[in-house]
Amino acid sequence: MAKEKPDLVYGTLDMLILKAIQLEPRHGLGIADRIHQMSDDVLRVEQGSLYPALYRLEAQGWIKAEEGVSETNRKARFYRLTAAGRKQLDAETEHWSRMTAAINQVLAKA
Amino acid sequence: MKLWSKLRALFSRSRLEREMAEEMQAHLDGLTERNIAAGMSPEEARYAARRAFGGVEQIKERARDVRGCALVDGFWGDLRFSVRSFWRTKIFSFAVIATLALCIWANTAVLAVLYGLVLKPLPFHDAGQIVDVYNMRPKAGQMHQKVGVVQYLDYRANADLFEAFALWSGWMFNIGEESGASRHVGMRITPDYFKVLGLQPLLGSFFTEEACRPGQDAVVVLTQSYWEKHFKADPDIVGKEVRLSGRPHTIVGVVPQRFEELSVAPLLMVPWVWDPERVQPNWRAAPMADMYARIKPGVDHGMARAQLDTLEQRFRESVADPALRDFLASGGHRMGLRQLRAQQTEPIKNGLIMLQGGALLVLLLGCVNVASLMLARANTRQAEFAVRQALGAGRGVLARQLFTEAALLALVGGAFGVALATASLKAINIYTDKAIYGIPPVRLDGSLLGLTLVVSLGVALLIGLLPVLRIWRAGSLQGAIQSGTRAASRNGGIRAMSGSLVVAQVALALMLLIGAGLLMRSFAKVMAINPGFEVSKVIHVRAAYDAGFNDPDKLKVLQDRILEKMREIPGIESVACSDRLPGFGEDRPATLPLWGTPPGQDGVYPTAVVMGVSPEYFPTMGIRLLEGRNFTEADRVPNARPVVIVDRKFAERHFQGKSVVGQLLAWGRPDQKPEDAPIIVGVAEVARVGGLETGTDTPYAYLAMGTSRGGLSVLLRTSRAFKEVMPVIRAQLRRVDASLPIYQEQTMQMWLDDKMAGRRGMLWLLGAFAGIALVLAAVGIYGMLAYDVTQRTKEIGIRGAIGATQDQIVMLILQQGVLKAGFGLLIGLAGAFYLSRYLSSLLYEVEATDPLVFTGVTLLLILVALLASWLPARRAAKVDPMVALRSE
Repeated sequence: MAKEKPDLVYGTLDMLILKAIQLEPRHGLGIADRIHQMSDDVLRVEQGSLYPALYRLEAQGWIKAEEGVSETNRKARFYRLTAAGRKQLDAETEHWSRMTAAINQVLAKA
Repeated sequence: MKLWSKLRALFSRSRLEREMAEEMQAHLDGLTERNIAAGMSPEEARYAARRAFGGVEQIKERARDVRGCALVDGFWGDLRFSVRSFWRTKIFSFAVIATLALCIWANTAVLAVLYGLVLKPLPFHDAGQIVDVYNMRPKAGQMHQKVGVVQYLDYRANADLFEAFALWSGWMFNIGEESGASRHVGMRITPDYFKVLGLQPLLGSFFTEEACRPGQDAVVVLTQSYWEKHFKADPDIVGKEVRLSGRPHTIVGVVPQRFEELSVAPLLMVPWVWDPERVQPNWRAAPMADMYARIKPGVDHGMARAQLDTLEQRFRESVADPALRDFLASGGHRMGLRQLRAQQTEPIKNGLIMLQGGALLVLLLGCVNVASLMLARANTRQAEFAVRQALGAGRGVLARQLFTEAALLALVGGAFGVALATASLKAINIYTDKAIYGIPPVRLDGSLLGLTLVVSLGVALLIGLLPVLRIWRAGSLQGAIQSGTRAASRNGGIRAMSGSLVVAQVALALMLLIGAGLLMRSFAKVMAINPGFEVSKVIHVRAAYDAGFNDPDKLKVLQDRILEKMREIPGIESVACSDRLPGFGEDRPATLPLWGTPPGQDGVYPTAVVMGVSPEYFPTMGIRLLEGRNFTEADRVPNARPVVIVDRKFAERHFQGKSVVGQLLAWGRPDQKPEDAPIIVGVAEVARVGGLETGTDTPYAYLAMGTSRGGLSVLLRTSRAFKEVMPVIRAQLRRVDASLPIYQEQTMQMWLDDKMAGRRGMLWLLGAFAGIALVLAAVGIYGMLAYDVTQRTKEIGIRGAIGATQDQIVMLILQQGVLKAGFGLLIGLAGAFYLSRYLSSLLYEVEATDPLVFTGVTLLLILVALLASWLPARRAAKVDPMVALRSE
């Protein structure tokens, strides 16, 4: 994969996507919006990374695409979290909090 | 999951592409609408959305990588690259594909035959329990005799280890009443025949017990194919009438197609009729029909046979009259029992397994050759691989490329092989029908094609493996870039490997050639057998009569008119007739007890194949009379004293040194006076009319034929060509009676050739395999040395420069080839010496270790090895030292 833009921490996009559809299925644009909104407009998803990431997650079996109709009455593909995806999200969230805690600790000591 | 989605990507690429494009377009549209809502003009909005989204095509490309198309594209790339590079080296590709096609052809064709004839189970329920039951009189040399209705009734009532018994026999019939009547094959069967096979009627019903009584038997069951072809699959066929041999029959049922896996010969079945009132216990030994039986599930075949033998013993001891008891005991009578189809296929089974072995050897040889070709090719491509590696291709990518190439070659070769096999099966089926009467034609079905595909992929692995190992072991190929292609020449491993490949090839080719040589010599020996009669000038035609010709006087008139009309044909030298010829149908030797002499030394009565002939038979067939006289017209009148002519074999076997003419036979009633007893009036030369090598143990005995009831075999001696004279014969016979069916028309030469069909087919196939193997071995030796010479150009140049003569250089290369070949010959000779014994059942008067074949074939291979080594050796000798050294 190519490098992510600095406005998103490298390697976190998958986790953020999973989080964005944790409550309800969303389409591509919806996921980008949701991440943007959840981060209080700090994080901006690079569109070029979004779709490859979606297809990768789909291939892993963590999310599943379904045909649906968007809020503007357009045909769209909605992504839903699968059971495996839920487990993966938990695992990544836990891993992330351990990592950030560790990093914070290092920064605090310095 | 991951694998699945990649596979899905492989198969539904276009759908995924569409989905992806739609989805991204929807995203763009969404952004555009949002921009419009924020107050931009539509055009501005679209541009802004595009800018925010990024390059659509780049994103798609990255998405494709993720979705697994990368693997597919990589594979396509490999494939395209392979095709291009093979196209560039057309000769190499042609050689490889032709080799593989021939090898796969050999295996597919033989496997199809082996499977179709021997291995394929009959499509009947629990087919392993269906058996053929027969009488055996081993001491009289009779290993397979038919069964009588008395035995059938006894077994049916008392043999409780069996579920059902059935009798059947072949039945020839005419269909169509007026002109152009044709002769067909049908069967007579007892009602339980289909119960034994486990078949239910497709339409209507099968026969009842009552249908097998005289007068109630005008019913018929059709095979499905005949029903479809002749009656256009009429669904209301049951109850309709059809005239068979002049008598109306009611159609009662149709037997499903599965039956035809057993035999495609019969078109229909009629009841096998017997009259319970007239069945006498002492008919027991009279062979009347074939018997099939179904053994109860789980009962051992040996136990089942023992039960039949017990019933026979009971009959011998308590029912049989003394003469019959004597007859049965003298032959060591017992029952035989064999799984269905085993009996038919036994004679060719070993030959086919041997051919399959030969085909596998050829395949192995071919793979060896192709593998070394691929290896040589991979070596010359070292620089290419090194460059690709330097540009970032991993070893895995290179290996994948090599395997793709191997698979491409193997699959194309396999496809050609299957095409060849399909074409050759047409020719093979002509032989199978002659080797086993009524066997369904051999086909290439799905499972065989699947197996061929698997074999092709196996071949791909085999031939791709060596070059891949080469790349894998080399690790980094950087060195190759600097030193060019010659880096490999110092690799001793490769040379040793291709050397041992050559040894293996020579050994395998030698074994196959020896096998083919032994068969060829047997064939020549069989062909050299003196048939004892004029083969080339005699034409045989058989005419059948309709049923109802029971009046001997009328028959005599018809017979005489037929012969008379035949004599009218210009160019016909003489005409004879006989009731039947040995070899057409089954030859059942009859016993000929001699007057006043006890059974022979082993308690065995003399036996012979007996046929009735007209006096012209001997001159027409060109059979010499050695002693005594020929038949006369006076011998043929009804109630004349029976006269017999025996052949030389009979005379030598039973009358060593004594005069045969005037000896009496103890045929007929026990109270017969010597002056009425059948008398031997002559001795004829042995005539192998039944086939050159079939039934050669049984002598022939001839009776003066009065009239023949079943039909008439007409023999015509002529110098005219068969094709030219046959229409005239047919027209003349039509003039006698337009409804007279004519069949089995052929020259005696064609007849004997048909009898040799199995041997001929086997020889052709094994000969073809041996030929392929020989060419492969020659190419193998040539290839190894030629490659070696190009790799050693520098060394040869140096040798030349320091004074080696051309002869010395020739010897250097030659020696290498001959040594390898010699080693291969030794291994091959040992292998052939050990394996050829398995051929012995197919050999005729040739030892499995025939010295002539062994030395001849060895010399041939030495010659081929010398030639194949000499060509590259001469090229080596022509190397100019200056050129060779400068080429570095």
